[in-house]
Amino acid sequence: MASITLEKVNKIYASGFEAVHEFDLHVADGEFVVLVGPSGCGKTTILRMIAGLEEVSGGSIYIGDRIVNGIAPKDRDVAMVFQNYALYPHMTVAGNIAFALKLRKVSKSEISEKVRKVGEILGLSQYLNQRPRQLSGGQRQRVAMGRAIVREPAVFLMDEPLSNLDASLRAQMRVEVLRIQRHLQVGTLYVTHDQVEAMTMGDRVVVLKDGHVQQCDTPKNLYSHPTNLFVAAFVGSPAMNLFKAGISSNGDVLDMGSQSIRLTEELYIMHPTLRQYASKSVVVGVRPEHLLIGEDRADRFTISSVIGLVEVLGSDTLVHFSAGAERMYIEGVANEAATDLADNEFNVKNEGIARLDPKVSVRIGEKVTLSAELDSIYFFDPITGNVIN
Amino acid sequence: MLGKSEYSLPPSIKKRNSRRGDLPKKVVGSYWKADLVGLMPTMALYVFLVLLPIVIAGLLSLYSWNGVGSLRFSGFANWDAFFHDPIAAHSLEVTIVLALVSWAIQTPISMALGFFIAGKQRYRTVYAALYLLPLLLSTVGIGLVWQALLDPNFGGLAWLAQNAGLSFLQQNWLGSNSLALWTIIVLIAWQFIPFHTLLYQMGRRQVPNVLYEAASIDGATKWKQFVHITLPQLRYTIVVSSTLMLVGSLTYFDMIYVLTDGGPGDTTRVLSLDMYQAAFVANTFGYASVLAVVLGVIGVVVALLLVRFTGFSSLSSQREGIA
Ligand SMILES: Nc1ncnc2c1ncn2[C@@H]1O[C@H](COP(=O)(O)OP(=O)(O)O)[C@@H](O)[C@H]1O
Ligand SMILES: [Mg+2]
Repeated sequence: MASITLEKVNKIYASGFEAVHEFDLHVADGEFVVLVGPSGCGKTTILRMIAGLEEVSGGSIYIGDRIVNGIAPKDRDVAMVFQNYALYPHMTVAGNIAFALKLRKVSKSEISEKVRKVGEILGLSQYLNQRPRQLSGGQRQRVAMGRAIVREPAVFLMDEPLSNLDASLRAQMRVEVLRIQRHLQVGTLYVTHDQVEAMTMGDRVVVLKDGHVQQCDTPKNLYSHPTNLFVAAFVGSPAMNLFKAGISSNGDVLDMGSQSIRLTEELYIMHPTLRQYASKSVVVGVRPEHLLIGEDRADRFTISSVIGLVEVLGSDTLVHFSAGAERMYIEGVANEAATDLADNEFNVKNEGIARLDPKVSVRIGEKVTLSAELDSIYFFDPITGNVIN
Repeated sequence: MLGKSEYSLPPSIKKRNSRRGDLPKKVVGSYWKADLVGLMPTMALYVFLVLLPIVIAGLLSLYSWNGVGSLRFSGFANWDAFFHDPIAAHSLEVTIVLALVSWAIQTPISMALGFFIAGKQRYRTVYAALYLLPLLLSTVGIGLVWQALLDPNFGGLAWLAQNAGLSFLQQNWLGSNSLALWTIIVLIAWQFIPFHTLLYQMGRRQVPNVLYEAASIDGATKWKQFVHITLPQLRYTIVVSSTLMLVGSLTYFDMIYVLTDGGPGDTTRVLSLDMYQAAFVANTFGYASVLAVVLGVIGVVVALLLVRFTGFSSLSSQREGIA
């Protein structure tokens, strides 16, 4: 078992396309790190470089203390779960799991014992003599996991291993993958495009965009201290509300579309750098779950709004609203606000979402005041995208 | 140690997984009928193209016939003659050696070339066209060209031997007892390797690359990848190619006829040549039919054995289940 370290790793494909830029990462032994980002941001490329399936264009990769640049995949002692599993179709489940051990000339009795044990852990015992084509997607996924864990490798690499499963199976396997990893204590780099998966599974999460690391932190910190607009918008569901705004020349008022909001001294104490933004543009962020209806008080951040759509989820109610402000769109992040319902009968153009207590009853077209605690308000520089602290 | 997983699959998935073995007998029966109906066209072709000629030859083998006059029933006289004919026994031996050696030479070379070309992205179609050229030329034409090249006095190889110092090329390639059969085998290989190269190239290109990646991560060397991924994945290609090679060389006739006509002596006298001579030189069609039956039966048996041994008959996909 070992750690994974990447130092300033670059990947430029033969086409000249830079898929990964100066990528640094350390996955400690036994740690579960998730690499998350939109499709095409370079996640698979990074895994393949660690596995040795793709050469690095620059930088160094270490597994444990050993630099592995230029070492063949078979000599790196990594196990990889491929997105499409890549099971050997001509081998049985047992054959698939045993393959790596056979190559290592492990004794027959030891192999069958290990295969039996892994089959038990993964609930594959009664399928050991079947071929992959006879299995369901979930079972194939388990075989792919089995093939990885039976080897007791130095590190695990997993490329969106759950993305081909349906939602309920995926939720179940999330827990199971974690359980297995915790048990084996093998350093794991897990790739996904699903931020929920990333947040629920990772000890730490690396957010990647266009081959550039945006932030690497614990799920908690990613959520509460995003370093830039991309991370703020990418993490959390529904995504953080982001509004374009400007600060008055004297710094007292935040002009957010049709409304003016007082910027209190308290906000400036929380965000000292914000003082440099007098008569400049900023982006204001507030998470849907931090908005409440009413509580129109001076010590809260309040937005007057019109309700355009109500989604009753049972546990919460999602309220899409207009604040007469312009929403900031972030490239590469899906946006849940139902802006395309702008032509509803009340002509409300929705720019934001509030996640409210289901007991609150609101009607479409109703004018309400939404408010949030001051410390749940974020400011970002619209040009650099960086958070303003 | 982790507890055993308690989780059970939803019924919809279980159902999808059930195989024919789980179905009630009645349903299995109707599957069989469906299979038979589906086999009809193939069976019809097989009867007309394979069985019928063998049966006709079989009947003819019971008669004495010079090809012009009337048939005269002669019982097993032709067969009796065959079993006591040292020339036929020798021809059979030459035929089998030719077939086996051809297979053993052509298969690895075709595979190696096919895999090599499969890797090249550029010019693949150009290669394909070039490789098919020998198949487009008439065998008789090829035979004449080779005859010219191999002539010990005026041939191209002899010229090289004299002018380029490659004296080992100075051989009586087609006229020497010890060389003629091997020369023929090499020329047949030259003629057919391109086609089999294409077969292997297509087969290899069908194998998903990710299998090799998975295997290399699992610790497989290139050789182990070949043994554990390529060979099993190419099972059907190997069966098809080997069947064509073996059956093709069992019945191979034209180039041998042109180049050596079985000589020198009868060192290259294959069964098909024997058959030709029995029919059209000696005008003993009954006896020729015996040889035809023997060749036909050997061909069918070889094909069936290949299919049997390699499990081709199980009709299962080689790719399904990767993902
Ligand atoms: N072999 C290749 N040649 C050129 N570009 C590639 C190659 N493989 C991937 N890319 C590009 O690199 C980028 C990152 O790809 P990938 O790592 O597969 O992304 P992800 O796994 O995050 O979806 C994509 O834009 C993709 O088009
Ligand atoms: Mg990917």
